[in-house]
Amino acid sequence: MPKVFPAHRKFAEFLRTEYDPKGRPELSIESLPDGKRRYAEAVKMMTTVNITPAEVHELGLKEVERITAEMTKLAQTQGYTDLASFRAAINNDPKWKPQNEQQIVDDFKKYIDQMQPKLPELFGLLPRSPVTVEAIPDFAKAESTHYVAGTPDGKRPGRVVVAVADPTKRTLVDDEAVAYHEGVPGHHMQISIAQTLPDLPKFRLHGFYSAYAEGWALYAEELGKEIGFYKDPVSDYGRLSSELFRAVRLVVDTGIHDQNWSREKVIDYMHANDVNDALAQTEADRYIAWPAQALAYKMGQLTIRKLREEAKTRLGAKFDIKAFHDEILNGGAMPLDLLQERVERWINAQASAGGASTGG
Amino acid sequence: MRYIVFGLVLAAIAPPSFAQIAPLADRVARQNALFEEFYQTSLKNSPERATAYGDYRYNSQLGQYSLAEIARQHAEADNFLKQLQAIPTEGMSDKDLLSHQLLERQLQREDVNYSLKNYEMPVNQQNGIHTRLADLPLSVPLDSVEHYQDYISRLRQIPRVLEQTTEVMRQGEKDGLMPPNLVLEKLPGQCEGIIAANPFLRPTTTFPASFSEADKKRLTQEITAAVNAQGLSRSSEVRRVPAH
Repeated sequence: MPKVFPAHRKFAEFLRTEYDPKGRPELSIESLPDGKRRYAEAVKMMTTVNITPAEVHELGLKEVERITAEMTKLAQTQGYTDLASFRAAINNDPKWKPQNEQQIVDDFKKYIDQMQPKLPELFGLLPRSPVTVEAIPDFAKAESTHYVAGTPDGKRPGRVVVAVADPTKRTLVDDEAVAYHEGVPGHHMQISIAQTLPDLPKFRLHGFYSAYAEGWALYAEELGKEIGFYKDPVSDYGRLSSELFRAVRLVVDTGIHDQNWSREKVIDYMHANDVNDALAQTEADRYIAWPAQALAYKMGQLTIRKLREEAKTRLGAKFDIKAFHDEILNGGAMPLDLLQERVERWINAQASAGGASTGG
Repeated sequence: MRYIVFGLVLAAIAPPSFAQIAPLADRVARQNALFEEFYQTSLKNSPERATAYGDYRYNSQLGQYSLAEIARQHAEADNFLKQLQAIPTEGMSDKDLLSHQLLERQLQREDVNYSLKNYEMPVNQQNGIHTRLADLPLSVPLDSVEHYQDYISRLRQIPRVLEQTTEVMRQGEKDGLMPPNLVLEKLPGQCEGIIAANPFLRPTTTFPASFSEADKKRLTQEITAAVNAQGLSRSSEVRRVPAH
């Protein structure tokens, strides 16, 4: 009977001697057969909206500009003359430099723990299953921080799996935002609620759409601010830098695949937008490996924000943030255009009646 | 010819929802049955996914990853799409209509992916069968002796899964669907890193207290034999949300 390790050795051997030598030198997926269509479809699939790579690129540049302006304002309120000097002060402050891997894991735990008791201020629906935090094992250090769903009965918890390799080259500045993103009120909250929604066909409990899931998680980062977290202005800078990072992705993913950007150009652009080098290196390779996936975050967040503004404007005093959040979560994951239609139906129903939910 | 033209004219002047459309309740029932069949089929096709959802009917199996199976599943999905599209949605509630649209979109999206043969590039440094399988000990239930037997059964299927994935990647070589070099150069080291870290023996260090000594000893031997490794050190279509 064949064994696990010999099979892995054989697979490694196949990769090294046969497969890898046939790899492509070009970074862009558009260099493959049917390349233009291949990337255009990837963009549509990952964003779940009808948008072209060129439009995504433009949107990214605009968002980078907008968020940078917000960061500059924050720098000035902290007494710095410009954003660059604020950034330099943060990056040179030993307080935000992890000494070891465990410190990063503990940091994530701390933020998730402080958020848990605050959730009822923002949501009617609450996650019933537990969430844990662990480090990415060394053999998988090319992976990024991610979330693995648990079982609907909560017997196996959801897992936040954190990138910790080369800890001294990392920063703790973004941890608060990323902890809310992967844990609560981000992925763990959304997915564990979706898994147990009543009265929907089962396939809808497990639907997966990057734009919805990642958009929700990025939107969730900001919710910490609304209930009084990001108390340290540097952590608040981290929140903005985390958002900037997702806007940067719109620019560089389309840069790599649709505009022939070199890896150096990608890294330089990320450095210029304060992405630390350890992260920039794995991220550049990630966008190269996985076309358009990184676009999902910003596109989804912008849609949810827009729907929230719409609900606030239409409903005025009747607007209830808990009901709005429940409405985003209680239909399960779906493409953004269908989410928009669904939430707009709900807004209409709320506006005309006393407030019965439409469901569905 | 004349007959066909007549038919077309008749269709054009007929009111939109007419005679052949079944009563709403029947259509909704048919659609719900189709949703359930689709869901059950998706679990059967992906035992790792079923386990991730806490459904342990396929807990002793790993999925089939061969080219033939990919083609079979595609045909199966196309058949679901045809059946779904044959159900008229007139008069359905918002919820039923949205469910209809969601499954239709999902199946159409799979169709596009299949036509692009995206499945021929299944492995990269962020996500591949090799790193997913290395997460297996953390992605399966290990509460009973039966769960351990299921785990051992899955370990024994890892070589088959890697063989099938190799076959698919060879088809990618033929079709010129190859990842970039700078992705590929990371992969052999990841495989060797998995061997060095040996995550597969981890369950031999975490037996539930209720297990007998004899069971622990036997299961440890079987796990070690399946892995073909000595000594101790310390996924699966688990839904992994890739990263932040």
